[in-house]
Amino acid sequence: MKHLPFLCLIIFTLFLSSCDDDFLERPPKDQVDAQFFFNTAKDLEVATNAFYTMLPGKEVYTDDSSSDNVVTLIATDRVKGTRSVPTQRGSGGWSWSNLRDINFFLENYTKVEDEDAKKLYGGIARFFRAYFYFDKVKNFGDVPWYSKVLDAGDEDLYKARDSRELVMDSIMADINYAIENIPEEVALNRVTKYTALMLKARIALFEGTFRKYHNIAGHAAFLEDAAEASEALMNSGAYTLYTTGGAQAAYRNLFSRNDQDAIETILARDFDREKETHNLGYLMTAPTQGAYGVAKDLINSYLNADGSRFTDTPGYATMGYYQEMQQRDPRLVQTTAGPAFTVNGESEEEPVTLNGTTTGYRIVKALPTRDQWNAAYYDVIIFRYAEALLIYAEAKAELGTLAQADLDISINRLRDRVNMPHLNMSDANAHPDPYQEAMYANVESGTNKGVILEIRRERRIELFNEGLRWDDLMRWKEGKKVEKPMLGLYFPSLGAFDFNNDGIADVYVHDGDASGAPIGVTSLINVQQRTLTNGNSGNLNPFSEGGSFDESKDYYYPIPLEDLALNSNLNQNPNW
Amino acid sequence: MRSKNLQKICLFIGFVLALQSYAQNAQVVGEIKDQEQQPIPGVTVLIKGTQKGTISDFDGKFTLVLPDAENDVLVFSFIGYKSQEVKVASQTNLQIVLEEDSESLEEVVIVGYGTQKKENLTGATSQIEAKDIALRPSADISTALQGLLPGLNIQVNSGDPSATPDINIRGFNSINGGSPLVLVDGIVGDITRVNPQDIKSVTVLKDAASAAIYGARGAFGVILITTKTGASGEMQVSYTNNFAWTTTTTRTDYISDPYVYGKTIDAAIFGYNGTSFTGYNDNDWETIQGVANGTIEPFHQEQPNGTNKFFYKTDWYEHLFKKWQPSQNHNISISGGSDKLHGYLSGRVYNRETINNVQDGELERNNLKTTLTFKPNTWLELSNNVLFNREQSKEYGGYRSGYGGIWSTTTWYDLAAFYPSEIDGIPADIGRSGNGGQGGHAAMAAAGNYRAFNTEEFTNTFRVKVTPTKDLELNFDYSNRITNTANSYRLNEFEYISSSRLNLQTAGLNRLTEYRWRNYYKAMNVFGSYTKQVADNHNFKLLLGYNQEDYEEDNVLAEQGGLLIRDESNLSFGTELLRADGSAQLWAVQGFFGRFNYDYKNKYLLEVNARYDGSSRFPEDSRWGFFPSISAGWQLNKEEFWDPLSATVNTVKLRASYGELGNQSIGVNTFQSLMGMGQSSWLDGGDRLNYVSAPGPLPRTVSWETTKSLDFGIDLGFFKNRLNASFDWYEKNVEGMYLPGTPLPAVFGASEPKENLASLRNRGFELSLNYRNNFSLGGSPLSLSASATLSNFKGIITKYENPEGLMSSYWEGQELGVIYGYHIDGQFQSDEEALAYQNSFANPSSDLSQVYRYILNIVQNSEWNKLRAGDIKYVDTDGDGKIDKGNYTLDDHGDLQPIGNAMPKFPFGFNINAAWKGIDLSIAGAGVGKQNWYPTGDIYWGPYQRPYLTLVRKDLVDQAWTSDSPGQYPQIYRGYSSLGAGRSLYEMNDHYLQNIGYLRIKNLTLGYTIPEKLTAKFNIDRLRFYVSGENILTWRFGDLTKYVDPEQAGSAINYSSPGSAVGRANLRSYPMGKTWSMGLNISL
Repeated sequence: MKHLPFLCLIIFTLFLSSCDDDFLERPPKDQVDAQFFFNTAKDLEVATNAFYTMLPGKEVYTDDSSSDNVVTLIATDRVKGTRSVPTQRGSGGWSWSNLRDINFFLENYTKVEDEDAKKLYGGIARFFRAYFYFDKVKNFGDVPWYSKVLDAGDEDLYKARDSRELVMDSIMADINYAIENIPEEVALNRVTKYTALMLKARIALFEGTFRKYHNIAGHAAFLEDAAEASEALMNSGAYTLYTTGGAQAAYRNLFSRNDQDAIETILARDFDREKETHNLGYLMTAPTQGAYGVAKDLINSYLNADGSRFTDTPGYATMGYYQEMQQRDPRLVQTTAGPAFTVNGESEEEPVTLNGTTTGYRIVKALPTRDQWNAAYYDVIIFRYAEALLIYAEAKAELGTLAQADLDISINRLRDRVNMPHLNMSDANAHPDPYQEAMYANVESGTNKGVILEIRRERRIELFNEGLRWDDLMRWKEGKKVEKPMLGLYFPSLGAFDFNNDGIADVYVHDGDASGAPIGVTSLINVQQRTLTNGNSGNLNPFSEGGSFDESKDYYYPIPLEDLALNSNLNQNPNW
Repeated sequence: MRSKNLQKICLFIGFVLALQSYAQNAQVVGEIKDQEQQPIPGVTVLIKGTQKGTISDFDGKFTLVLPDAENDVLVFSFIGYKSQEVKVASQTNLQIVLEEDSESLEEVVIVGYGTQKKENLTGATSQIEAKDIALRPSADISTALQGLLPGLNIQVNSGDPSATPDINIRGFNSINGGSPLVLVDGIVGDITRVNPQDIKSVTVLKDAASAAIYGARGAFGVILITTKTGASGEMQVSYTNNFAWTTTTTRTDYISDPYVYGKTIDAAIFGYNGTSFTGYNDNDWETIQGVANGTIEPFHQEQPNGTNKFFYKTDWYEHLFKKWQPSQNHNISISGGSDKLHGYLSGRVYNRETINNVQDGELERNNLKTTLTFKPNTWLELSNNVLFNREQSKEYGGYRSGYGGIWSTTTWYDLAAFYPSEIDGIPADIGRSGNGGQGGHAAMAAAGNYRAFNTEEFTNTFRVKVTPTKDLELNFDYSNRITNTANSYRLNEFEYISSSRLNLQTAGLNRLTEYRWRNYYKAMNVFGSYTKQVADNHNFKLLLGYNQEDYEEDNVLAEQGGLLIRDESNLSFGTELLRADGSAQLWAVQGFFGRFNYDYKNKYLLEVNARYDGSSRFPEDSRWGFFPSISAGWQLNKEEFWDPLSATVNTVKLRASYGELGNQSIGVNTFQSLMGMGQSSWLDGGDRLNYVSAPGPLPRTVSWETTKSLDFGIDLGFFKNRLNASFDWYEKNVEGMYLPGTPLPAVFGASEPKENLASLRNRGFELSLNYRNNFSLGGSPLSLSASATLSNFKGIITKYENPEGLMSSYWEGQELGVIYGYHIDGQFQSDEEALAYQNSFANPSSDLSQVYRYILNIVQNSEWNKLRAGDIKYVDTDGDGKIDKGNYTLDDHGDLQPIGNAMPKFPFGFNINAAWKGIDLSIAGAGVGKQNWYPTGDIYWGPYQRPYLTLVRKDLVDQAWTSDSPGQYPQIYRGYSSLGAGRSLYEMNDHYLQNIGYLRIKNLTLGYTIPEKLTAKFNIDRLRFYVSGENILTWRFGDLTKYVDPEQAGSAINYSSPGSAVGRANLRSYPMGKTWSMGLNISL
């Protein structure tokens, strides 16, 4: 009992000593408070590093599968014309979180005193904002422009869309700022002045042609910007075309290399076996995933090796596989599997297989070595110099200022790489290709019509499966192109066919009974299930239902229902 | 293996019978009465040191034959009375008076920071004593508690011995999730790390009144685990072991006939892309049939183009998985000491093999506990408790480009029955259509790819208890816990034969990843209580205290590539640094608490609790919260007017409680504008970019979620407490759930700032029954106890900011777990019927695109790109000419309607213990009355999920539609085109919705204790042998396939995350285990 006061004192002391005010103050150890950041050039660098994942990866090489270039196993909504209005706010491309991050940076970075760093990283942030908004305008047309971080209570959350003019001018201001402020330096995996020039050329060509073909005022200035930006890139001498491997291999080699270099490639997404992989190899080879097939009208668009048009060749439409692959633009068998197709890094020819491909024309552009058919790590090209050459020619042609000399420093460089005869402007204009003419109904019948069609042919072939085709159709107002038949291989009859001319039949076409297939056949086609256009003969017709395009609405994407409900000033795109 | 076990059981029973077969003659009779001279029926009369004895009859009389009347001592025992020992000597007629045992009336229940007499409890509390669970040789206490305590829901999600079950008290408590506070001897602990043999009791505090003393930590209920501390007296040593063999609870005889497998896989892939997987022609099919029935030896055959065709017969399940997983458990404990110093020491070793048959993985757990208590004098008690736990596990896996466990790299990938598992002793993985496989089993066989997890936890608690006067007790305790976790992933290259060209290839990565976590947790409690009785009948008790805790976590990650030595696993061998990163977390809480108890003659009971809590998770101005509670009880049976009834109903207590609790389970530092660091997936020249991300928007307010809880209960005791019943009804309102605020337009660019704004109401009931009695059976007493529990709860969202009624979110009035789905009108019975249905829609490919998405859009197979016989028929319930979800809002949800509920309804349990002549038997069962599950995952859907799945259940293929038997599923041809969002089998519908309710015998244990007289010669106090079975029998209330365990099917529901309520368990995980075991208990 006598100890009681003593003990109580001990307990009381302990009690008090623990009750310090700071006990519940536990500032984080692995994060930094924003107010203590943005002090050094390094701070700006790591803050802009967060933006790079806005850039695409493998999507670059899969976007064409939702266009008229590629027929997929499961037809896509965009081609079928069955896109639907998304429900959830922020879905269907209407996502704005990246913009908030960029604007947060732009609101804070000027605290740094290092002027060079401010220019460089301010320029990079503006590049990304231009990239962000370009994507929004492409998909939605008019969009609200925000150059600040929005508070939850900000009235601007509920504003109407800004005009296309205002947004595009702001985008051009951003990209011009980037070009002026990022120093000239070549870097493969970083945004540079050249990347900004390339993006500017792409944006300006898109906007210029979009306005021209959709009858929106002001197209010429954008086309001039496109020509100027691509010319600046050409004149810089920083890039040239990749030619290692020569005419028969350089083009294919360029895309499936494990490590890109900055010869032709302006910006690449780097992948690494140990660190970051993608599944393109899997998508291109798995029978249930890939089943990609190149559309026949693209195959037909490749010129003959002598520069003449394949579609002018008599009987071209009923030519068998082996024959049609002979003496063509070398890019054809570097894009689709030719008769002597081998996988990169292997010498043994692959057995002919039509199982994994809808049209029979298997894609081999950017197909990696076999060990990457599950997890791939070859780099993906986001921007390359060839596009600048194509933009230059197209912008000039659309402006009406194109000269043969312009073609010689642009498109004909691409032809040189694959040993193809040069494109001659006057020949082209004198005899516009009826096959291409039928594809693109909206090209004005002016003096440049022929060469514009040839530039489009060249662009579609050179940039096949690099994610630009859908945008091209949109800006040319050629959405109806997807309604044209998307066919495959031609078979004159049922029976056995030798695809690689080695004397052994490879493909057996039958109407339900495969028992007559000769030994050595590696692919069976049952016409009851994989139909031909004329029953027991004709082209493979995987997508007989065909595409559909509604001119009155399909040039834009719909805005999610929830966003419309939350902001009464926001209106849906027409007819959605 | 199974028959071996049976043999052992038979031997054991024979042994028991042999021991019973000797006896002598000398008869004694007697009469047993209570202090009021009333006869007591049912008293156990045992001859000391034996299991021989009898039970008193209705008049309290008994007759017994004694083997050795001179020396025999009789032991009289009955519930509620003090046991009595009587030396018989020459007496032949005994008159026994048993005294009422005030101790047992004063049965004590553990409550927060103290104990309470059971009869004075006013809150909703359940407690279970070690003896009621000790018979079960469970390696993990949480599984042993399943079904035993009403309102305590335990969801075992897999058979993985290292997995932690989900534990929940009284339903989902917050949209933000959260789990009960588990306190081991007053210190926050991990329930799975407690050695079950150390446990003395488990108490569950369910209502706010009982949990309020834990304030902000008790919102999800509290589980108090009390462990043994030893007692003064003779030294006691006890040793327990257990040898067990675990197998799966489900069927595992997947299709291994290569012909059947080949036909199935070919059909599944053909319907999707019109190609053949096997590439077999008619001759080949004949050959593979020969291989299947054993007339042809398995072989492969080279084709002209250098590829091969394969004709093998491989049972991949058998190749990959063990039939029996052995485990063993050894536990030793020592206790004893003097009044001044006593202690308890225990140690356990538990190890188990994993299910991996290609390469043995292992799990090992070690526990060590030491408690020492010093009592230097009458008013001071000092004690120190040391707990050390260690858990190690190693699991083999790997595939061609990384680490994947046995479930991902083998079962998911195309190991076809007609492919070989090896060629010339080298593992083979031919792969999909001969394109090369993942090599999962080859990587395991090479043993170079594994993950090794290691955790060591050290906890020290020092306590002081001072009792200056009889009425005053002061306590102080201080605990320190250090937890170190080291997880490594080692990848290595390996060789295997792959593709139809039989390439011998080297695949895999050479890499080592090391994760290290170092956690420090410190807790201090200071509390004291004062008891006072005034004027004999007024009893007061006051408790006051203070608590503080703080936590610090520090994580390090390092990864090296290109290790120089294959068999070593150390970063020092790396040649390429791939990653190095770190992170940290800190938090602290502080609280003041008090409890006031008052009762008048133990009749009228009142308790008030309060706690004032602060947490570092909140900004300074909203950091502190006050959480009060009040509860009251009335013991009717102590009223005079009850006396006439007291012979039958001897206990009646009414209870009521109301209280408020807080929940601080939100992330740390959410109120600061913080920029997180990270390493990007964007590489620059092969190196990841380091980045810092923009801070998220700050919440408008951050403060506690509050749980207001109301509870009414009644406790009844019948026939001198032989039968007890307890019933509770409760309502819990969780208010101010911390969630994203009012929806903002997407241009905001971030999730809506969080606010404390949503509410949830849970209502439920709990019922428990207990029965204990003794009977006479075959001249020996049979003691029997049985208990049963039943509960149910229903959660409703009562407040939620969702003005648009978006069903992708929560909404007001939503019952948690409700499943919205489509109505199906059976299957099409002919192609014509199917086509007519399809053509009844104006534009089938868009009108039906939300449910038949792939079927109608396949481009390469014109035979199958339309609806056909066997496909399920979606009903256009709203008649708008489309099958869809409308706007997926409450106003317009198209054809969706509520079709079921994914919450477990009416969970129940029962437990029966019987002892007779040294034989003890215990049966524990648990189950769920009803629960809906929409089937998901490859085990269930087989080729519909993925056409080239390794494991395909037989009863699926048998039930696919054919013109002869309509079955239940579409034709196998539907393969790949039917699962996945927007596809016919994936969209939830009432055709495939299952009731996964079940009743399961969780445990059956049969033991025999050798009579003490025999064992005493060897100085053994007690020697018991037992055999036991866990999960041995299961009844399914629905018609769920035997390949899926009903308990595991419910595992999509994570009690800590109610958003998962309609989640889908893919079951691609460790199958539930059924365990047979045997062992012994020795006490010295």
